[in-house]
Amino acid sequence: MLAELKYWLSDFLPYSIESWAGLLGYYNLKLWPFSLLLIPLCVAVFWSSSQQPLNKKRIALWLLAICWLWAGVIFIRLNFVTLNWAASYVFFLFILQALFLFCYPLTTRFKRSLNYQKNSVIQYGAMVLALIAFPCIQFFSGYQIHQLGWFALTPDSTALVTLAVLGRMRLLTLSLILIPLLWGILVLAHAWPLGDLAGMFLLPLSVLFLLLHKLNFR
Amino acid sequence: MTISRRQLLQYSSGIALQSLALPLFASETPALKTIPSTGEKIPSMGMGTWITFNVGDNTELRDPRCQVLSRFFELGGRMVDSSPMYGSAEDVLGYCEEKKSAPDNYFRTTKVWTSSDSEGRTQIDNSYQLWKTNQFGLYQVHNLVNWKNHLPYLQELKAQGKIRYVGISTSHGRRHGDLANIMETQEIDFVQLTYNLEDREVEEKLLPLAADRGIGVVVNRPFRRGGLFDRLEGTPLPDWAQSIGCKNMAQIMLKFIISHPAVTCAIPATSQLAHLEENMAAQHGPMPDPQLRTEMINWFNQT
Repeated sequence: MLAELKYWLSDFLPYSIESWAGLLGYYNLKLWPFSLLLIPLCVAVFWSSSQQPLNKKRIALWLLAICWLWAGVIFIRLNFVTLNWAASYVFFLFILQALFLFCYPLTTRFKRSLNYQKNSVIQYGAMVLALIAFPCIQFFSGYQIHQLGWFALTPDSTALVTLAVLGRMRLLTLSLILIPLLWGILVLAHAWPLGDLAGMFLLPLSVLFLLLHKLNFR
Repeated sequence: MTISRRQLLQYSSGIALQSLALPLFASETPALKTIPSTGEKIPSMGMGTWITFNVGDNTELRDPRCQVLSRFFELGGRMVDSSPMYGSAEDVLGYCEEKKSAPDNYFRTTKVWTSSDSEGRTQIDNSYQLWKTNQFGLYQVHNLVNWKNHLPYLQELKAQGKIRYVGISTSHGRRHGDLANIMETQEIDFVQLTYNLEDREVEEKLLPLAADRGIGVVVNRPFRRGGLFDRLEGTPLPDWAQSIGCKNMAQIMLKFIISHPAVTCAIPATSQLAHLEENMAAQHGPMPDPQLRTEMINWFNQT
């Protein structure tokens, strides 16, 4: 009988999908209308990532670093922590990723890798797709409009767009993609017991974007 | 906004049911259990808050929880159990208390859950603030974490009148050997453990030991987090259900638990008013005798 008594993944999640979606909605409403600033931010990230001068490319990564800081500190540490105490540990991953994104443009490896960059329709398309893919999946899986997770505001979309931008800049180095992929695994482990269909798509989508860029550069 | 005929019927039947239900519960005395260490009587149906009350700061989700809490007390409930491990649940309970959804003297039950002594004291102070109270009915060491240091501190608080009872909790059938050892050697008022139609290991040692040592028993995971409903899906109510006033599977599961002589209180968690009312009804009416309890186990094992 004792053997039947086990901890399941769901036993570590102290909240329901209703609470999770409610948190997203509450967070988005608190930020509105300042979240409209995301539009120029997205334009700035995409534009700077496609420019040739090195300084402008650095700006793309530094903007991404700010997005990771925001998602980590404001969403995870200050909001998600109300549902899940473990968030107070997870947010360090976001700080670390922000640090990587900030420091990497200062390395010589950054300069070298950019020599091989090429622009293509697939690259641009992938970035736009990454921007809308996750909120769209959330919407069609039952989330309400105000509960959708957007790039820079929430971690899931931020991880996906980061991979797309890094792929676009041909910066798929392990130090930069490890944490976004790890986040995809954590989200899967959280989404599966919650029955959160959108969350289950994050890791496959992340891998898909990486493959897309790999194929496009051959 | 227009109201359809169906909505009108649903609404009016809801009111009718409510007006019927309240006097029904109010006129019947629920099954009261005795807390062994003091002889105090307490209703055998409490309420847990794992997952269901962890809704963050969102008032759209908090307010319905306050309604559930309010209804719980209307139906004769007293013990509400939570933990710092349950995210915002303690904060939501404090919010509901501010909104007058709870009486002043209800049986507040929480836990300390950290391996650090100093953090444990901070956590305890924090729980008093979150619940907005000066006294807890029961304070437990959660999952036996650092019990050797937390328990003496909880006893100190009990001596100061800030806690009425102290206890140790576990769940999922873990660390039963250690729990038995604590029950045999420490002065505690309560244990909290998992017991349901499927997880019955505690019948062998822990429940008899609790009865022997005069320790109250709070039962968590009465439905195995809904797993028992999944297992019994499609199974018709057995013939004997009516003889103990059970109208659904939840009541069968709960009556099985609270009819054990060593059990003081079960703490099913819910965020649904309808489920709450089903749960609370289980503490009314006849309880299964030992013979029927055996039949319940056989029936469950065959499903």
